Amino acid sequence: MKLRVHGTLFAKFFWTLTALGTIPMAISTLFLYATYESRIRHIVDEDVARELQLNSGIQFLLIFLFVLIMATFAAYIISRNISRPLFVLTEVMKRIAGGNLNIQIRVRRQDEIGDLGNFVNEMVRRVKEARERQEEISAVKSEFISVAAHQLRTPLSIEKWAYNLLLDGDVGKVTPKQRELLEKAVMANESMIRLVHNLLDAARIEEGKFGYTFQKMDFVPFLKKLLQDRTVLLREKKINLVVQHPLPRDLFLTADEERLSIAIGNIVDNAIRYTASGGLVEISVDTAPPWVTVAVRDTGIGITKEDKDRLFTKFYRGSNVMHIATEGTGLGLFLAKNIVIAHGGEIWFRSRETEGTTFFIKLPLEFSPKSPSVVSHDSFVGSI
Amino acid sequence: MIERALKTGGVPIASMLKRGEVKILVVEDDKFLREILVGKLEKEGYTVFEASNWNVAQKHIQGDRPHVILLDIVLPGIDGFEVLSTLKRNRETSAIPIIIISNLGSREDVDRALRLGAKSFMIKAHHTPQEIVDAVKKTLEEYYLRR
Repeated sequence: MKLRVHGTLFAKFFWTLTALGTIPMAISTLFLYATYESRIRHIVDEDVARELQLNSGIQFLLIFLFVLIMATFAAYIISRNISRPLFVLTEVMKRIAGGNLNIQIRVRRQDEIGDLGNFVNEMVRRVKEARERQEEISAVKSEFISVAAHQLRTPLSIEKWAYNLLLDGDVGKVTPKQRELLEKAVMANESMIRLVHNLLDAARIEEGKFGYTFQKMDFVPFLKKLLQDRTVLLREKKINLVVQHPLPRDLFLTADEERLSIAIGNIVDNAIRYTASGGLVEISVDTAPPWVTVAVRDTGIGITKEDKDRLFTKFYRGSNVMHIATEGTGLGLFLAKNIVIAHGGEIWFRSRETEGTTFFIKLPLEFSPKSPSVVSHDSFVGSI
Repeated sequence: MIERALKTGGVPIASMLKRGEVKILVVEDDKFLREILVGKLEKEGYTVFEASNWNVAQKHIQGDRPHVILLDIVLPGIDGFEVLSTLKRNRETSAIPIIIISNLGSREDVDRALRLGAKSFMIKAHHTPQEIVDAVKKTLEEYYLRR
């Protein structure tokens, strides 16, 4: 450990005490010297006077040294008395900031610092209580979403199957008008099913049950397939999808392919969905070891300033998209962000309202998933 | 007949279908969904048995020896995973391909079912009845004609 003196409590006490000891002494020496000079010099011999002056100078130096030693000791004792408990308190605060609330300080002192210690203990207890309550609520909420979503799936399946039975002509011929209506119903049903699926994923993320299976994967074929799957959507919306530059070869990532395809898929779907017919969506892949960055640029409606900060939060939808695309769930970017972060990556965007948005997904080429951190349960970190 | 086809290297599936020899068991507790599936499968020419619970299903498995089982993993009063593992542990039934149809569908559920020996896992809300029928067809071909 590096010994730091400058700016510490010890240094401050030391200088204060030294000054307190030295200044009065210096003044008194000065007066004494002046007295010798003005009064005694005429009465006694020149040599005697000089000796007396020298004497007082030596006396000053000796006392100064003594003051220095005393100040060092006193500063050490006082600062230790204050800084040691402060050190313990800082350590406690550090752990609280790190999310560990299973800690208490053993308080032995009766003074102000002891009070502070008691307050900290009380605060930790209260925060812990609040957090536990919050966790309980959150668990109940996630469970509710999970149960509700599962309950919704059965009637949604019934609807889906019934529409399909009708559309397949299994129960009689379908007129074009009927078909049109049925197709509308199928679309609504599919978007509900998607919502339920996303809700279940979001609930699993919050419950910490959204597991990842990381494997080496070839990124370019994966991306090509992902874009291939959007052909119908692109054709329906008459949007031109362009892949910039030749894609790099042999780009291997450590990733959960299925989860990553949700994340990148959601970004691409948004780009298509929020770009007007006839618009352009550009994809580029940029490798700069140890990272690969996928950029998805659209010429869509853009993201308003007000929406920028909250875009990745659950159930949040841009204020300008609500009326053009009603079927969004507000979960796509929440899922994308969680998945990208679980891959050790980053996601961000640049956007200009009415001109378009570019989303960037940056992923590490080499990624070793961390094992979940172990929460320590030591109850006392130290005593003050 | 199918068992013989296995040994002799294949009989056209169409001829077996004509004779109604391909037997499918549908285990699903929701009446509406079950009837849709049964109707679709019968239209394809299969002989279809249906069960709304495990007791009925067991009788059909023992008595009728189905060639493919469509199994809902959420059944009244019994854990579908248990059913699956029982069927796969039993020497007489372990060779029957089982397609799980369910509204569960988290990765853990799917992995667990596949580990226990299910042929495939289809989430009802994510597949049309036709897709399930196609999966049955594919499974029949894989299990009884190409091996």
